[in-house]
Amino acid sequence: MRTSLLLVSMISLAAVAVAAPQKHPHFDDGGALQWQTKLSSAKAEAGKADKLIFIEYGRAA
Amino acid sequence: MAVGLAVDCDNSPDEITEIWLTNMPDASRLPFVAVLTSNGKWIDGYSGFKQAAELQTFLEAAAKSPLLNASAEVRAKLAKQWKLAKAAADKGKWKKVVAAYRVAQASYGRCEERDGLRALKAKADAWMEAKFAAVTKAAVNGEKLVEAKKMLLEVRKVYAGGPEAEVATIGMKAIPRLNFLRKAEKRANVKANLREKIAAEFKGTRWTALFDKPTTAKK
Repeated sequence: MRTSLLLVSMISLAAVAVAAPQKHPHFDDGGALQWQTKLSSAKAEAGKADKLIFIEYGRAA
Repeated sequence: MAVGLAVDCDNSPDEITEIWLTNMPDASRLPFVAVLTSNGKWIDGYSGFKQAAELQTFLEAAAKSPLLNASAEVRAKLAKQWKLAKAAADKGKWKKVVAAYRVAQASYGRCEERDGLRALKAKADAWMEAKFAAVTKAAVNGEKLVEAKKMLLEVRKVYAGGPEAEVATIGMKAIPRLNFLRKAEKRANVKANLREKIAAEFKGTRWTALFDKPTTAKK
């Protein structure tokens, strides 16, 4: 839940055009980020537009 | 700004566990959070709860990391490509623009030259979209489709090897199916829902639009 609140705050920072966002597997982040579950996929997506990779390591509340 | 990577701490891949062991060996409070460059280099991280404002400060600092910048060597390489691409774009030689952009994709780091190449690639993509739109318009208007097929072939050449070329290829397969449909519909005993059935062959692609009901008579 706490993590969810944290990620929701990222909405203003996530100035990205996401065609088909993948939701976070544990919580609803309000569409702040497009989520991947594999590092290789995250690298590929981030590399397309020089984006950062934001790792959230936790468990479902 | 970022792509999220969600990792279940109870089922963490070794490569992620190694990231924590290397960079935050004493971390204990969930969640663990980290920001990496797009090629996987560590920028910063923390463990435990942060207020939204703190998280924002953390992210803004990470976004300014010099690790995100291209090296001088990469910039020099991309500058050359950018120059070539600009000259090609001025002449509408989109294949060269796409080739230069692909060279840039094989390197890492933010820089003006990469941004410039992206902008030129966007122009090439706009050209491609215009071609695709023209193909659809010709189909829906009931026009002959020889020119449309030529346009798709042109797109396929420009983007050879890329997903855009695949889209063009599917379009080229749709055209003979539309020609078949047009002939079939001239017959009195045309099968019911033939148009819908053929359109369904292209479900999930942009080319189903070719099988929309014609808006005018055939020319």
